[in-house]
Amino acid sequence: MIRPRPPLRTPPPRRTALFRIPVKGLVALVGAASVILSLPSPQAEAADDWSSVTCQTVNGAQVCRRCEYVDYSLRCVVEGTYRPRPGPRTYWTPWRVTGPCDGSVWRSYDVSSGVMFMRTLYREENGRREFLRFQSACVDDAAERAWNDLQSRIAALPGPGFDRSPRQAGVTGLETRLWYEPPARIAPVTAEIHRPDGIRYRVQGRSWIRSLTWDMGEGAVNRRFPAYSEGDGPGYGSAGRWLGVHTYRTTARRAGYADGEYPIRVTVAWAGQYRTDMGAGWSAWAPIPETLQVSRSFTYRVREITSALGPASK
Amino acid sequence: MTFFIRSARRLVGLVAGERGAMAIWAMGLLLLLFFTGGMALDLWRVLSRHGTVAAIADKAAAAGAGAVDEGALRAGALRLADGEAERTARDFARRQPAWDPDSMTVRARSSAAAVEVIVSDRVDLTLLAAFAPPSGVTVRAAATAHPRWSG
Repeated sequence: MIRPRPPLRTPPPRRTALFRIPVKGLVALVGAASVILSLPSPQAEAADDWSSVTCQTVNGAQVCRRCEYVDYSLRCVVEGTYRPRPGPRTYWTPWRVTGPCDGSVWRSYDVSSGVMFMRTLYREENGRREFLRFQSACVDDAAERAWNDLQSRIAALPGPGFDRSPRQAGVTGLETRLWYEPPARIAPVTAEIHRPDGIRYRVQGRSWIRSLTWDMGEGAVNRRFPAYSEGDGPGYGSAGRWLGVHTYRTTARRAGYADGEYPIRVTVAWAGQYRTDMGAGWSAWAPIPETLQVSRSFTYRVREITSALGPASK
Repeated sequence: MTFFIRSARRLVGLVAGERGAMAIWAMGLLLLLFFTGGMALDLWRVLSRHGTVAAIADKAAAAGAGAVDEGALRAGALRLADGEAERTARDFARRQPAWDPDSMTVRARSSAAAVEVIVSDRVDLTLLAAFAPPSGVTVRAAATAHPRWSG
């Protein structure tokens, strides 16, 4: 009798690729998943070398990009709204401008009194958000910062000049024309401020000579420029478009100046404006309370012309 | 009647004799005095008018020398304005109280350095009119002035 042959034993099933992943890789994947689930904030976070999740808010929804290394190649998947692991978490909102420092107006801010920033601390659990507290910060050093920048620019300019006609010597009875050729304005200067508390903003300042005073030794001439304006040139006026005149009545020697020259003093007063960009565009220009006066002294010979009878002098 | 008879007799006596010779001399001297006085009067008038026109010329020249070129002055040069010095001098002369538009004339000319003014006046004579042209005597005064720095 022929004994039937026992059926051949089927070979054990081959292990799938999953099982060929080294143990070390498994540990890494598990670790990455745990890190992803324990993200404290919906902001961008990274897990480890093997996977990463980058999230950002698009139209109010969280869009996350999950990337993993699989078989030595990077595979990324863009997922929908990221839902953190259930459980309580707390987070601060970004800083927002809420109004002037000295008031409670929650509308357009007034940089002249400083700007109030505010952020809120929330506690969120199971989709329910609970307000914890506010934190505010007053940014009132924008004007000072802008003015410091402007002052350093003004200091780098040449000093006040004494631009006049006649150039060499004045003449009694003839009007001495005055203008100002040195730079009379500082174009807007922008500075970016990063505070330690995380507040960032930009400050822009501009400056111009608000008043010009010529002390001519026999009286003074004053001109005022109430607002910043872009001029044709760097200064105010020119030889053909003078700002003011002074007509000497007597010579310097007759006025008591033995050297025959009047002492002249030119004084300019710089004023400034500033504005800020707290993240929502530039505010309106606000005046800087301080002014800067700069003076410079000159001498100016003033003579007279008389008629003499007789043959013409050579 | 008696007075006229006496006067006629005395005149006849004078002519007939040497009496009255001094009277004739006196009359001659009187005529000479009148003539000399009239000449002095005419000369005084001429000199006076000359002084007047000289004063006008001096002042007009000085005024004209004040018309300096402002543009050149602002550049540091002292010179008279073209044409302006002459016009200023003429106008100034004509505005003087002693100016007589019927008898006086003024001429001015200038360079960059000086202005010259010539004022003329026609003077009518009285006693010397017989020895002068019918239009009278013309007196003329000239003055030159220039601007100069002072102080």
